[in-house]
Amino acid sequence: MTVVAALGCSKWYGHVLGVSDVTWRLRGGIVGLLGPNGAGKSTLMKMMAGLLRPSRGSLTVFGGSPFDDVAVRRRIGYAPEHEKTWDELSALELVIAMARLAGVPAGRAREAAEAAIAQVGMTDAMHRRVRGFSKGMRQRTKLATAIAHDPDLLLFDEPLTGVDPVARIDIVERIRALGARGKTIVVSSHVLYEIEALTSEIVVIYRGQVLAEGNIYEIRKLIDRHPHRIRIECDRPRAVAAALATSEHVSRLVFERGGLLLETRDPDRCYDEIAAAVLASGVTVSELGSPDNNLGAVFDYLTGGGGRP
Amino acid sequence: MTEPDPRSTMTPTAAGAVGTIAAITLRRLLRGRTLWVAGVIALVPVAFGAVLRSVGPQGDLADELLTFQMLVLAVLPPMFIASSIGEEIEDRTITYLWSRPIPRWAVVVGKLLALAPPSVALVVVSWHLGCSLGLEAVPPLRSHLALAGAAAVVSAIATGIAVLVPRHGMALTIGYMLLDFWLGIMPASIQNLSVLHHVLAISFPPPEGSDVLTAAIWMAVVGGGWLGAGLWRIRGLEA
Repeated sequence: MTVVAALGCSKWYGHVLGVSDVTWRLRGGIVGLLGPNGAGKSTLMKMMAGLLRPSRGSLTVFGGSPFDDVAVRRRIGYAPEHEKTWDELSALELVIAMARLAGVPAGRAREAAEAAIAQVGMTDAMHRRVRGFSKGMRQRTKLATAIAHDPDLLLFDEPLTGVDPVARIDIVERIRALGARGKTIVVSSHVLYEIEALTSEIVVIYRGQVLAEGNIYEIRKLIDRHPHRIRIECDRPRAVAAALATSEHVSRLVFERGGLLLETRDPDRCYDEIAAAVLASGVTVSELGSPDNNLGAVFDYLTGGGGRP
Repeated sequence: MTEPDPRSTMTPTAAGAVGTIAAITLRRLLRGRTLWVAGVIALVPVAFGAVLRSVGPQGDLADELLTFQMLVLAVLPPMFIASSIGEEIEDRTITYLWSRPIPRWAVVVGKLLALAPPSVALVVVSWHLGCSLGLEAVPPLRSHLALAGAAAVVSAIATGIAVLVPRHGMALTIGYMLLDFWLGIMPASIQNLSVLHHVLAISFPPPEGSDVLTAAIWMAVVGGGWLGAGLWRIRGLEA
């Protein structure tokens, strides 16, 4: 089932481009929307949440327009990027109000709000006013407002911004738990490892356009035209280098402290040759890995190295 | 086509959404500073009445006191409503509301319903206390009703202007009400657009009498016009 379908979707703010000609289909699971600040992530999120209308093309959620169709918005939970909220209210009052506005009957709103607050680990502070909350507590409260009405699609715009490392791990686990319950979740971030901790399914957006989408390894295939780097830490890197020097799959060899970094355009075959070279030379390998298997490298490749935050 | 939602019966009614937003707005008002500041402003005519009393009760200064009260009328409703709507849009807290399955106009109407009554109450109480202190006799009830109606109309005007120009809604509404003073001294056909002119006409009718119903209708038309413009604009407003 298609949850979100964008077809040639563009959004301008006057002469400023928000997103440009985005065609994208989301079928479920946890998806990370990755891109630097100003890339168009929040614009895409807001269009999915029904806050913005596409300037051109279409964007549907559960088959309807989220901007025009209130029944579609009933199935969406949105936590915006900004911190501002109604500081005069307590967390519980805020979440109850949001639950009521999302359609939870009055008799069940408190129960739903308390359950949502418990899910984000805020029960102890739920009677305190939002005004005195830290950034992490505000982020959790926002998440609670988004999940209180048990929506099918959750949109979390930069949910980990400003959160301390311990809280970040906790929030990541809670978002993953929501995903495990079958919710479709879109999480945006400009921080690569945040997305990586949440999901391997990503959409890379840059300058308003979707550069790539899919599993990180699938995306890696898209960039195979770029050299793939492999780092070998061993006791005698020169011996390994000598064994690999004539390989047609190795395009470059660089000696580094305690190891060797090589570049290849055919990683699979290259790994085979590395194994053979190591066995033939009898060196002791302490570590073998690729710095390109993380999102940072993928993002650098896809954006030409200029967009990494 | 939208897929059937098994929980579609849970989509809130417009009335329910308006009520919830009104309740939140009122709660925020009671816990914020705006009400206190408004209370102080409403005391200014009362202080003026006290000054009049100190120089001896005055029988012919009701017009002057009412003019003074008009300034309160021009400030309080925009202070409550235009600032509330403007802040909601400018601070982007409106994103919480508009991402919910409620009609957009419900947000504006909910705020109007929550904030117009305190505006009306403060304007009328301020007028009554100012008259009680400064005049020999409290003006007739119709002056109170005229001010109450005018406060409601100015609230509607403030709502419309705040939706059209969120960032400067309060200042523009106060400016508009100052313009309204000026409209009130224009020829008759233009006078009809002045809320304050109608308040004066109802409160202190000329010897030949005044048509209260027509004045009330004109006030409703002006307020309804601005409110309608705001509600029309909000349908397509993005956050």
